[in-house]
Amino acid sequence: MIRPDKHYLYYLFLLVMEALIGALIIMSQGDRYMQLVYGLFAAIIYVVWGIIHHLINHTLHKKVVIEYLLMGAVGVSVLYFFLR
Amino acid sequence: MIDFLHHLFLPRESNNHRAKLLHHSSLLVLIIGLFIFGAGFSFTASHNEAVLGISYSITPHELLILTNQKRQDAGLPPLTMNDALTQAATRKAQDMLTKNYWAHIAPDGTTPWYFIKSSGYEYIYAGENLARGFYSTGDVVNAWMASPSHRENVLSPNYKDVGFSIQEGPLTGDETVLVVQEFGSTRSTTTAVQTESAPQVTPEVPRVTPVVVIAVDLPTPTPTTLPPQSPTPTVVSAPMSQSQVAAYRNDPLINKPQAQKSIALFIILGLLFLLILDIVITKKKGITRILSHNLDHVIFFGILLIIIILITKGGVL
Repeated sequence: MIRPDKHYLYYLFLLVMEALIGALIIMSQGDRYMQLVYGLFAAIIYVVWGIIHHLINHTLHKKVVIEYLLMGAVGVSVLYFFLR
Repeated sequence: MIDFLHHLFLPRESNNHRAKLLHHSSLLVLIIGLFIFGAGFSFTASHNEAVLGISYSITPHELLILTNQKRQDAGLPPLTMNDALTQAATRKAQDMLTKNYWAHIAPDGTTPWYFIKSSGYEYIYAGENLARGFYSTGDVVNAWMASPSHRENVLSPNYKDVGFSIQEGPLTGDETVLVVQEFGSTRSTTTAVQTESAPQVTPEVPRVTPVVVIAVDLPTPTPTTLPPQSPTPTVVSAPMSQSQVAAYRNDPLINKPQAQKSIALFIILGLLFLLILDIVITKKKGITRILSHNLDHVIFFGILLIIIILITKGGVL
């Protein structure tokens, strides 16, 4: 179980990772393919990170995994719709 | 009705303490809906450009004015619009759209110099800037100025003439607006410059750097393999006013890039609103659920929101 004060480090890690990938997406202007690849990568990191976070916290359930997958898929779908 | 809205937006007993719009089934509907709507969107855009297309305001005249403004700010003389370079730019743009490539050198090896020379411009110095996916003249010129190598072209004292072409069409799978800027100077216009400036070197990586300068004594280099000359396209040979240009183009009913951005932002903002509302209400009511952390989702969609706000589909080469 993660101590409550340690949760913020996990969130900070997610924030930094997603921000870095976001910067890559913005910097790849004009290259739609790479932007989508980075977007997919951001979603995968988010899902994996979410699962690990819940696993450490002993709160991992099937519903949780499905929710992360769906949220990640929504993010990629919106990015794809925007870039297409 | 209000009860139904509460069911959709607020966590309460009827929706198992989670806004119905955040349920897995709703998210799945959203994903499928986005793909179906997106496909319909693209289909409409490709079959009915009058309804759904790209609306842009880029004109050769504005490009000339802004380019010369940047040169003037740097203490350089203005460039003159040249018919031959305009023709070369138009042919280059059409070649890119026809052969579907985004590069200074075509897949068959055709260089920018081919278009410039075959348009009747006997250059001593020549250069090329490309841009795609921008919708205003200011954005195009700003993107060029933000890139050191393109900026070098815009602010080169070696160039005296310039030509522009703006073409709309599908390029590498994307309906886009393509802008080609060809620079040049002939022997007659550069006698003074030639004696003063050392020859510059062509960049080693033309993929990411605009082709810059060739500075040699005549005869100037010619491509070893010339593709068959295509019919001369209609060119914009003189600066036109904004109203003249607007008269040539029918703006679509819906501007596709703007519509895509608005819809994407609406979805992301809606989800963020629901997630934050969920965090506040569950915390206030002390509801415990077996679900993922909302804060994770807020971070993920927050970053996505920033990306969609900041991202431009435009690129320069």
